[in-house]
Parts: sequence; C-alpha cells; structure tokens
Amino acid sequence: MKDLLSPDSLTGILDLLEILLVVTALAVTTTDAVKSVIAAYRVQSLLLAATTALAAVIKLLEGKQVTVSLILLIAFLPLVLLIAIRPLLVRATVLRQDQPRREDIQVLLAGMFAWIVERFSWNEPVRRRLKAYRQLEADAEDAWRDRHAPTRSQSFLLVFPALLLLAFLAAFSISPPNFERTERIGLAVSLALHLIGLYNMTLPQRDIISQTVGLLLMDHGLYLAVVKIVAIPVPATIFVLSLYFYTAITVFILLILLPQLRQQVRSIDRAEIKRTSPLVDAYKVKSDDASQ
Amino acid sequence: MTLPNDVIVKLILADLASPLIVVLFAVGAYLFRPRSRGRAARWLDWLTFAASLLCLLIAAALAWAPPAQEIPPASISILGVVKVDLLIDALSVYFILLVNLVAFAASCAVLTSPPEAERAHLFDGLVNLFHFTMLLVAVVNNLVVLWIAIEATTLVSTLLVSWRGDRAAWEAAWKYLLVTSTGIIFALLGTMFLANAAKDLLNLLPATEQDQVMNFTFLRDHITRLSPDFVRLSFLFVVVGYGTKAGFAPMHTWLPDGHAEAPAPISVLLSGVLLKSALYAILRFATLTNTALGNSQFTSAVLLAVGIFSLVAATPFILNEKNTRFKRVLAYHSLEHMGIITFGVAIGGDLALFGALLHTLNHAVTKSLMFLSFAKVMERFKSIKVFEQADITGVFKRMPVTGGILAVGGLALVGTPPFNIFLSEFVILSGAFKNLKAGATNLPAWLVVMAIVVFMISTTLIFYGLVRHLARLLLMPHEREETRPAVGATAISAPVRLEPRPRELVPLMGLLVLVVALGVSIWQPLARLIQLSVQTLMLR
Repeated sequence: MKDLLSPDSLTGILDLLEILLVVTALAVTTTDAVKSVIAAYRVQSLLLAATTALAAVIKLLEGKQVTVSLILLIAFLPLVLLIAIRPLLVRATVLRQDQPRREDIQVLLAGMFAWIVERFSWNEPVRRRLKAYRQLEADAEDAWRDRHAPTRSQSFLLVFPALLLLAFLAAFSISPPNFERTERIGLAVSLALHLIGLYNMTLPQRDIISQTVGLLLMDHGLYLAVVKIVAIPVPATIFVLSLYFYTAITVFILLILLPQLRQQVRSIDRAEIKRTSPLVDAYKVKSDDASQ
Repeated sequence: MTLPNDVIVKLILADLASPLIVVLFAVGAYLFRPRSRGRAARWLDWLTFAASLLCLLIAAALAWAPPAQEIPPASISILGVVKVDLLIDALSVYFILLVNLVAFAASCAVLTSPPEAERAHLFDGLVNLFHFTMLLVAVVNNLVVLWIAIEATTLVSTLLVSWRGDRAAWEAAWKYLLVTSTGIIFALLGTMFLANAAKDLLNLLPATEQDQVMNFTFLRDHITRLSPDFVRLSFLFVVVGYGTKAGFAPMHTWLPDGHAEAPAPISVLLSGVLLKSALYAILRFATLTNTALGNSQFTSAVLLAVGIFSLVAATPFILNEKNTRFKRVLAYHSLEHMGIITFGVAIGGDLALFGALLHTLNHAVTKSLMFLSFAKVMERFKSIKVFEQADITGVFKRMPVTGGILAVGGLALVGTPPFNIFLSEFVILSGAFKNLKAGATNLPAWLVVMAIVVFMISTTLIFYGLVRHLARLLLMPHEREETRPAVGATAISAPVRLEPRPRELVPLMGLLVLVVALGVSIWQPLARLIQLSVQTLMLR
C-alpha cells in the first residue's frame, strides 16, 4: 500500500489518466450523436479534475515548492464544466420564447443539480423547475437527433494519429532538458488536446454544439498545460487567474452567445447555417432583376 | 522637455480612471432606469465625449513631453488586493495616444448619430469599458496581465459587435469570439513557455517580489540567461495567438464580419486600435526575443512572412468587384494595412520602424474617417428606404460633401500622395532601401527585395480595387434616378439631397484635416515621440 502511494506509482497513474484524456478526446471527435459528444466531454472533465488533484498530491509527496492550493483551484474548473456543460448546451439548443431571467436561471440551476434535487429535495417549486428542465432536455435531444449531417469524418482515422504524433514529437523536442518524463507527457497530451479540439472546431460537417465542445477540449488542454508547465508558486497565481478569466469567457459563450446565435439561425447544423448565412463575401446578385 | 515621473504616473492613472467613471455612471443609469428612460440616451453620450476628450488631452500632454526612458516601476492596487505593475515608456505613451485619439473620434460619432435611447446605458458603458481595457493593454508590465487585458477587450467587444441584435451581427460576434478565443490560447501557451524558462530567474528576486518574474522590464534585463530555443518557441506561439487578434492572415477570418457588422463607432475602435493593441503585445515579445537572441533575424523572418502574407491575402478580396458591401471592403483594408505595418517592423532599422509606428497612427485616423463617413451615407440612404449596402450608389449626387470626404479618405487609404498613408508607406520603403544600400538588412537581401516587389504589386492592385469600389459607390447612377426622361415627361427629377447637417460632419472634417496634415508633415512632438518609441523597441 505504501508503494502504491509512492510518488513513482502515483506518477504512473497520472500518466495513465493523461492517456485516457486523449482517448476521451478521440471519443468526442468520432462519435456521431451530440448527446454522446457531451457525455464523452463530461467524462474527460472528471478525468482532468482527477489528474489535476493527483498532480497536486504528487507535488506534496515530493516536497516540491509548489502552491498545492493553486493546483486544486485549477481542478475546480473542469468540475464546474462537468456540472454545467449539459444544462447549458440544452438551454442553448432549445428554441423558446423569452422567459423571465430569474425563471431561466432557476431552471438551469435545477438542471445542474438534478441528481441532488431528484433525491433530496421535496420543495415543490424546485421540483417543478426540474420538471421544466427535463422537458427542455427532451426537446434538446430531439433537436440533436434531427440534425442530418454525419459528424464522422473518414479522414479522421488518418488525421487523429497524425495529430497525436505531431503533439508528442513537438512536446518531446521542445521540452527543455530539465523537464521530467511526466512533464513531457503532460505537455504532449496538452498539445494533443489543443490540436484535436482545433480539428473538431474546423470540421464542416459538425454542428455548433459539437463545435463548442471542440473549443472546450482546448480549454482542457490549457488547464493541463498550466498544471504541468507552470508549477512554480508565484507566477502560477497569475496564470490561475488567467485560467479563471478564460473559463469565464467560455461560460459567456455557453450562457449568452450560443443561445442567441441559436435563436437567430434556427438550426444547429453548420452546413445549413453557412448556406443561409447573410455573412458571405458578396454578393448582391442583380441577375434576378436583370432577368425579369 | 520631460514631465516629472510622478506627474506622468498620475496622468496615466487619470487616463485610466476617466472611462471607468463613465462606466460607473452607466451602471447607475441602468439601476435607475425607470426614471431616466429616454433621457439617459444623450447625457451618457456627452459624458463619454467629455471623458474621451479628457483622455485625449492627457495623452497629448504625455506625447508633448514623453519620458525619454522608461520611468521607474510604478504600480496600482485594485481594491487593495491585486497589484498591477505599470510599464510607462515612450512606446506605451504612443499607444495611449493612439487609443485615446480613436476613442475620441468614436465618441464624436456616437454624439452625432441617432441616440440609442433604451440601451444607451449599456452601449456607453460597454464602449467606455472597451476604451479602458485597451488603455490597460498599453500600460501593464506583467505579460500574463497583458494577456488578461487583451482577452478583456475581446469579451467587451464581442457584445459591441453583436449590438444590432440581428442574425448577421450575432453570427459575426460568434465567429469573432470563437476564432480569437482559439487563437489567444496559443498566446497564453507562449507566455507559459516563457514562464517555465524564467523559473531559473526566481533566485534573482527577493521572496516578496517574485511575482515580478513575468514583468516585461525584468525579463528584458535578464532574458539572455534563458534558453534561446524556448524564447523562439514562445515568440512563435505568441505571434499565432496575438496575431489572430491582430487580424493576420490566415487567422483573419473573423475580421471582415466583425468590422462590417458592428456599429460604425465600434468598427472604428476595432479597426483603429484593437488590432494595434494586439500588435503592441507582439512588439513587446519581439523586443524580448531580439534581446535573448542578440539579433532580430528570427523575429524579422517571422514577421516578414506574416506581414507579406496578410498583404497578399487582402488583395483578391479588395479586387473582387462582386464584393459590394463597402464595410467589408474597408475591413479587408485593415488586413492589408496590418500587413504593411508588420512588414515595416520586420524590415527593422530606425527608418522602417519609424514608418511602421507612424503607419499605425495614419491607418487608425484614415480608417476612422472611412468608416464614419460611410456610416453617415448609410444612415442618410436609409431615409430613402435604401437599406442594403450593395444598393448604395451615386453618393456624389445626393451627398456631395460626404461623398467628397469619402473620395479623399479612400484615396488616402490606398496610399495616394499627399496624404498620410502615402507618407508612412514611403518612409517604410525608404527604410527598406536604406538597409539594402547599407547592407544592414536583418534578412538576406534577395528576400527583402522580393518582399518589396510583392509589397508594391499588392498595394498597386489594391489601389485599383478600391478606386473601382469608390467609383461604383460615388459615381454610378442610383437605380432610382431616371437617366432618361420617360416618354411624355418634361424633366428629369433631381435626386433628393441627403447631406447630413453641418454639425454631423464636424468629426469627419476633423479627421480629414488630420489625414491631410499628417501627410504634409509630421509635427515635431509626434516625430520625437515616435523616435523615442523606436529607441524603446531597439533597446537604446
């Protein structure tokens, strides 16, 4: 048991967790159903929180000069996204009339803490809001199912290994000599998450929900990078602040921008949005007038 | 003449505080909205104008007597909890001047446009917050706080891009935030690499001051101790990251939509200063990288590639005559001019750097003039039920004064003498030729010559492209005008004059005077400020 809790053993477990992060990124990219994309992302959030917490424990056991509390603050971020992502994406997907903001937030909170509300709350208004959230969820799942464009790209079978290879090659070649193996692997996984997330965002067959999840994958890469690369106390504080700020922007996208966009474009399919978009380079065609 | 350091710091703080005070008033207007509904519209606009005028006067005072060297470290404490170290040197003063000048032009435009009425508090609050965040970018010392400040500009400006609230605006805002957020991740990674390399420098700082390890001034003085490879890597990531925000190709995809769909004062701020704020960050990192490597070959090579690529990428879009939305054409000109500025920075040397920095000002002024003039045209054409940009033609007949301003501004934008942009482009090219003649180029001579050739071909094509767009906009008869009298009719009906009131043209005239004046000569105080900024960049 003592051997299991030694820094070396825990480092082995840490490396395994980081590899699982890449596996979940593969799941996010290759799955067709939006519901499964979100589920895979939530699993990744949990894994990342565990990875970060374990990294803090290892630093403690090694007696390295690091502010453990800062690393744990970083672990908090993927947990927030784990809880909030599905309700936020449900809310963003469903087309609905404007409702009072207070009611909207209460339904959202009921969705975030649904597990607790279902089992432990007997407050009628709260349960009513959970019911409203469940209806939203059902409508969202219908919209996700109705999306026509397949997400799986045949070329991903080639692209994914290439992205992974690029990330590992880059990480192992750019790492300074004083980087330990675990730091190199962490950097490699971070770069891989960035590249896979970027690839997700650029896939034309994707919907805007999955595109957003691609950005969130890159967020995870950023969190991991701060944990693995910037593990020195004082600058780490300001980097943690920057991560919180960046997460606030991500929440802004999920809470305000994505729902507004959805209300305007009436479809979550990117190809359909592009086809009907007023933002094209040109072109007022006067041929209609000329032909009449 | 130089102001005492404590006076400079107080002026900077007053400059930062002015827009924030208006934000507080805007919050108050929101909280007391039922009572001030309707009336908030104009008094907040006037307050914004007053604050921006004060900021401009402060910036002018600082520019008149800039610090010859960076002033000793100063810091501000936010709520007694967070300490932000300030960096005040000639370069930051120059960018403060730029931000305040364009913000003033934008506030004048807000004042001479129809009021926002119900949402004035939100609009003015956001505009002033935007102003504040851009000023913050120019004065922070810590590179991570710099990143936070730039990201803050993104967040605030997204809400402003989406202001109109229709589909196009929300799509543009979505694209803007998604693309720039993706890019800015790379900037943070680049900063992180530098932080990791800098951990070896921690022992140079007392325990209570170790938060200064990521300060620009500290890194600049000690960066030669860091691994050159890591510094190069950091710079590459930073160019990709901040370059996305600066609108460099191929990360510029948000730019045409964002600038075109935003309200005109916001387009002015986006094009005039937001792009330059991101460039400012790149310039600071370039200084660090050049110091670490002992020469500027690496940064010059990277920036030359980026600059020329941006310039070339803009050309086909401007040449495309089917691109009938003039605001999008103007947005592509931003891509072109950012490419020109970066080209000048890449060429290096006193003269080219001077030209590049001068070009940041000249582009900001000229682009402001173009966006605001065209906004007036759009506003007036709406009164005759012409809502699409593509349908706006024959502006000269209906709005001869505004049309004339557009024509002059357009010619200035494409580098026609004797206007300002011609002068700064001429100085950049002179710097390039001077370096070639002296054999003092950072890069191989053949590469510089090729870049100059590409520069001249692209700018010539762009000249042709914009002149064609302007001809269509200003001279092509509007479809509502009868070019021939109908059978039995006795006269051609004259087009309705749409010229705005003279007071609405005052901001445009002011900008026009600047466009001409800056083309004829560069005022001594401004020239001195830019020279000091160049010395700051070259670490003299």
